[in-house]
Amino acid sequence: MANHHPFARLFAGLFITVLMVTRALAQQTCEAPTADQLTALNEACSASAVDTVCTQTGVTTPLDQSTASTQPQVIRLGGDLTLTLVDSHMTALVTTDTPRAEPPIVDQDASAASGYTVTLERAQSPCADSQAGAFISADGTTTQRLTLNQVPVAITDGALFITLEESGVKFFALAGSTTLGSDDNPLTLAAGDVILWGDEPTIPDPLPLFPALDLMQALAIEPDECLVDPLVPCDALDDTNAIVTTVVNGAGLPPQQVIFNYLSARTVSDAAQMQALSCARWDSQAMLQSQSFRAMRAELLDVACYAVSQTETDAAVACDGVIQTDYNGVLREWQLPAYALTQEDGEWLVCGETR
Amino acid sequence: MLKQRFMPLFVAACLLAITVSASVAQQVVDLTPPTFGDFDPAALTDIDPADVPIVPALTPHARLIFERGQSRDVPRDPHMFSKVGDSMTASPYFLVDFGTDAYDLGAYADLEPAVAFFSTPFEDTIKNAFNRENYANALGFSTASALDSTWAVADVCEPNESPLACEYRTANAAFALIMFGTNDVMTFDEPLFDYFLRQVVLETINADVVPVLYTMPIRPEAPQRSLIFNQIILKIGADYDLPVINLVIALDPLPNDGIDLDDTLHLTHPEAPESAASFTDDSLRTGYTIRNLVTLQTLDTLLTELDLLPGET
Repeated sequence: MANHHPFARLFAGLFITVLMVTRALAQQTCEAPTADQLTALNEACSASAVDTVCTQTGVTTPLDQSTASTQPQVIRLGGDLTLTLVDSHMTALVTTDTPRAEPPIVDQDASAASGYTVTLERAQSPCADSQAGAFISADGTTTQRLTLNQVPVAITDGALFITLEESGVKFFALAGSTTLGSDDNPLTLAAGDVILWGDEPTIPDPLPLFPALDLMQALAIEPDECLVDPLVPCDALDDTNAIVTTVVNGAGLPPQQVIFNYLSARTVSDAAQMQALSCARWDSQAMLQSQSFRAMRAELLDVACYAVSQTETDAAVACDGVIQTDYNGVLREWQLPAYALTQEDGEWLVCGETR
Repeated sequence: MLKQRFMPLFVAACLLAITVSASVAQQVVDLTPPTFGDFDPAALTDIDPADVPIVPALTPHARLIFERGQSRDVPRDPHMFSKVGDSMTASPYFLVDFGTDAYDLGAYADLEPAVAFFSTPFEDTIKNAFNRENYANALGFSTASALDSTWAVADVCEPNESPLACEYRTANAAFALIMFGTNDVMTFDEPLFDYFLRQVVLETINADVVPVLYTMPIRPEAPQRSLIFNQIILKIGADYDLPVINLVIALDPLPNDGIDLDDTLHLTHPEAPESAASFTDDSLRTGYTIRNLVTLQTLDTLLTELDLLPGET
């Protein structure tokens, strides 16, 4: 048996203690906020004034006097726009591009997104590698506009979760309708859509996880869609924490999820995604369908898909809900057909449609 | 007697001539389905819409397609045309009033036989080619929409049937008036528009329906791309040897090129009580009226060259 020097034991013990303390501190710093914490934050800041930043203690600071903070905070903007920075790893700089005495902060002029210009940045913290995120919600039926990290954003009675990535801003559409980009080339998101806005908009592959439902509910955000199997409205779920997407094209997904993803890709004219989800025979039709709504803004309304039959190799999926398009102000709802899928190499692929 | 002896020879010669011209047209026109990526922008450089007549003649290939349509088990109806396109084609200002008595040809009374020819009732209805319901045009329609079964009218069209196929099956028309570009030009790039429009044209040809194309009105937001898209339309017309109504040149003398600047998706139209089916001086200063005029002139030309009008031999 080795005979260790007493100082070596002391040093080792000290070293282990330091390690444990450091780890504990790190865990505390990097721990994601709980639903209870967000509920408390939301309550503490529920009455905070427009153009202020509010922290968990309920202390508010005017926007133009606020300083960068790594603490969770609620930024209340005009027009019922609220930004909630949820994991304390982000700083926000908010400016207005119109004089404060001359609203509107909410700009209903469709020709440009003006009003608030919000810049969110990752904080230089030990947790900088973690997912830095913020919820953005807009109440009311009037479209609310802001420019977020140089991306024009218009939200109508809805909510987004955003994360900052090396390659751009990732937008998770949670509820209502959101349009990104300039009005001459808008990209419309419906609940359940995820877009990475970098050099050009792309659908992340694989799709990242949505935030947990209880976090959204703590902020009074009710998502329109729950990306779970089966696809059902969130209020029909027993497990309200079950919002997950684990999408890599069609690999390992149930047929109804494949169809939902196919339809979601269709609303943003994502030909590559639709073709990736299709069998060879349907490839050209997928390409065609990816383009045929392109002259319009399209979104999924109350879409929930379910398998009506399934064998080892074939499945049929039907969907409730509609695709809604907006062409020059004219709204049209499109009934969804039933889809036929085949399984190839363990992957369910769209291979036809029926009515 | 002499006449009777030579008659079989004459008929045989005529048949031979028709066969030869048909086979020549077939040889010239390549009907291979398009492949995405084949688009060659260099092929457009020599195409200038200003060099192309507004009212086209019947081309040999169009004649051949028409004749094929007439030789089907159920011949295509020469009194019928399909309207294929976007909201400008679905518009009530486009030809609809010629289906009733609510039109005035003004100085163009020579078009009356053509109007009468296409006023033949559609099936057992009181509708006709001018005002019957079409299934291959709609608001927001693009070349891709025409081929996508999602856009097919559910109660009329069959599962997986494209709007275009549905329209040709239900209308059984001999002619198709096809205008695309206004929506496409803002959303598609040139290769995609070329690819989809070729598919629309080929599906029409393969259905033994004579495609009559239009150049598109200029989108003020994208005049240069509008020019390129019109070059594509003219190139496709030339490649498939088809009549192309050169609408963009017909609209050129009009205020704002016949475009409604408050709604650049659409042509201008006359204010009531004037109508786009009245060829008065005032009405003829609007886009829809001009489109109606050049369309009737083209249909009249086609019918004349096909010897379909009464009194023609």
